[in-house]
Amino acid sequence: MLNVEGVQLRYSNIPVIHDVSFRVDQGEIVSIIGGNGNGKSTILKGLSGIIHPLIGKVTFNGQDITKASSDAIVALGMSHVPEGRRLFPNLTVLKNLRLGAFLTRDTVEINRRLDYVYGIFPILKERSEQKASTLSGGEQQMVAIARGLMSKPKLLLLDEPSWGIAPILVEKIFAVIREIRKDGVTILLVEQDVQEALDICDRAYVIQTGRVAQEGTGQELLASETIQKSFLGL
Amino acid sequence: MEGLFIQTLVSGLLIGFLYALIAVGLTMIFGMMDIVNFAHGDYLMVAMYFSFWCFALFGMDPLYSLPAVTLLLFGLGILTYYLLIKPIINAPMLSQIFVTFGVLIFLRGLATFLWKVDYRMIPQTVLSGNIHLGDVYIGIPQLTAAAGAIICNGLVLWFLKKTRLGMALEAVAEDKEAARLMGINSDRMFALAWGIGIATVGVAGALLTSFYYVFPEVGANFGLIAFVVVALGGFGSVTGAFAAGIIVGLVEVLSGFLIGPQFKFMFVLVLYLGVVFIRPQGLLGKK
Repeated sequence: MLNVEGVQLRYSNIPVIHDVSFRVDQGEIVSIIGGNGNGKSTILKGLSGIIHPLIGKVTFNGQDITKASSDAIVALGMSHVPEGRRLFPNLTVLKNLRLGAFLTRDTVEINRRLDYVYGIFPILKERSEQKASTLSGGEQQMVAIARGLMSKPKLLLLDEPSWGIAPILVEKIFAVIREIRKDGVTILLVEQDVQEALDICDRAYVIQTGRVAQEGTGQELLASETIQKSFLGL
Repeated sequence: MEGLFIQTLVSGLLIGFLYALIAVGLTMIFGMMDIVNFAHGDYLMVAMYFSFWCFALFGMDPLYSLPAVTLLLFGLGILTYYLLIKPIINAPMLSQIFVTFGVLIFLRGLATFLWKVDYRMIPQTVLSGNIHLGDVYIGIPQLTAAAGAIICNGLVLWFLKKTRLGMALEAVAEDKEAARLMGINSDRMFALAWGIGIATVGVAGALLTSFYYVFPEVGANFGLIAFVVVALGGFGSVTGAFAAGIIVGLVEVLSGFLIGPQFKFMFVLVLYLGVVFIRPQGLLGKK
């Protein structure tokens, strides 16, 4: 579904990602893990068209999206839930969600999608007229994910969904991610919580200093000595 | 005396609505992309000349040429964005100031070159005349301008709050990058903001031509007042600009009435300084 080949990404002209290749197949959950500042978020930005690779190639469902604009990428069925949620703080929850479906004009379809995300996060229906900034961290993360789903993506990019939320909610968020996958959405997950990220995924890539240092299934990596030492403190 | 006071209040209110309309585009463009359009008042001048020439050449009343003026200014706004603003959108603030200030000088210079510094006025329009309510006289052109300003501001607010594109404009204003992730093409939204922002001065200019002189420097004063209104209302706040426009209109006429007409703009500027010192974010501004 997604194929990334030899991609280099720069931020303010400094290479952050040197040479990264990976793939995500239909129906998978793939995790990208690695310490802070290793460019994991940069990879997602490079996929969703916020920045463009200077070297390398990205294909999505057979189409070359290396230089495609963000709106074209959203239209193709990729949705990026960014690090730090990036809600529109002064707009209501409902407006945030509607903006997620910006490329759709069909109101019936938009309402259908709203029903779907309210089904996943019933609390958001109660909060729909509240400003997004008045919500708790966990609820804001729910809005961010729900907003990402409003474009009805085939591939959902999730950047640190556990960031800044209570541990009890982290489990709920991960349960939701499993549920979303069951509904047919493929997921690429960037996550600090390595244990959770490896538990939930089919396959994972370890990024170190802008390169893929290790790859394998979640179970393989959980059993790997280097992973246990560097990330799980075992 | 009392009648005169009420008369003053009414004229302050009427001009205040117009100030609000002139300021709304300025605040909208700033809120969207953090660019201060120093030439804002000069687009008003362009609109007024266009309105004037429609009358002088084709005998078209300013009220009837209003839709055409609005459309022309909408186009001019979009043209300005693509030609001048887009290239400097990520440039340092100083470059941005130079560009919009350059537009100001260019437009004034062009108007002076083409039409001389003469003051021009349309002697008789379909709106000429007064209505009286008790002791209070209200000029019909002023009343029409105020009503037009209320309607136009209402439309802008409705557009921003209730339509899909308006929502996208607000989203870009809140977080450009997040808006891109929603599939919103921020470039087109910026162009739209310039179109609407300049079209609103088009409406204001067309309404103003019915009762105000047209000359190359006419934008200077109105532009300055628009800045005071925007600062008072809060940079980027459309509703704030609306409230602030009325306040500035009232301050202007009341200080003119109570202290002396030669001081009225001084008090408007004192108000501006007061806002900058006491509440720099303005009445309804964020931060």
